Amino acid sequence: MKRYTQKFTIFLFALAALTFTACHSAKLETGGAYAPGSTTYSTNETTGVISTNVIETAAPDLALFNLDSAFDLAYTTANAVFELERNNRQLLWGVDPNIKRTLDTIRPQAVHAVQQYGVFRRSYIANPTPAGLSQLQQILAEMQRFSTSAQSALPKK
Amino acid sequence: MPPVVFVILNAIQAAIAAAPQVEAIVKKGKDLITALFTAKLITKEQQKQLHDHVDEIVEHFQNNEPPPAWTVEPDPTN
Repeated sequence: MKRYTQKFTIFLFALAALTFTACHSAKLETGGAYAPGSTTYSTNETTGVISTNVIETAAPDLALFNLDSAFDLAYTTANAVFELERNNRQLLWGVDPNIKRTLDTIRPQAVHAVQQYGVFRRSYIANPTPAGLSQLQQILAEMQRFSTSAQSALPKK
Repeated sequence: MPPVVFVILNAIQAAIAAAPQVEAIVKKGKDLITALFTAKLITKEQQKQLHDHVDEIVEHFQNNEPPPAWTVEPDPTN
């Protein structure tokens, strides 16, 4: 159990590091959810072959993709910790009651952060602005803080 | 691929071996890493998967009670 939590924590930090490293050099295929595009068709008059071409209808939003990726990871991390504690509650209570108590202080704040991310994300998607992006980044930073705090609450080896 | 990536990937492999309970999380992480490093092109399908998944999470938290693991429940009795 203890070895599992330590290795899981290492995995999550490794994943975050890799994601951060890779995201800045990734490209978005046009026509995707973060890189809107429309498909045009043209027919070769000689051969009759129909060709398709996807044209950008809006600038790719790699920033939102990166934020959503990081949010997904932070959410998954926090969820894993909360579920781990809940599924092993009796055992962990016997190890240290402060594990549950610490997570119980984080839980409502994490819920609020997820709700806020949803509100501001919807707003940003409807009207992308640098200020909206900054707001999402701030909420994400809170989520990541809660995820880290939640992990720290679990027993170490 | 930068050498540090292999160090990190080895850590991930060790975590996978030690933590079968979080296989779904690990698989998602591996899929993301593979996507980001293999071609550095995030496909339309990968974008849709992430977009829809985040949509699902935030809509659930907006319209429903949080999942049980995210709520404060009574302390164990003993």
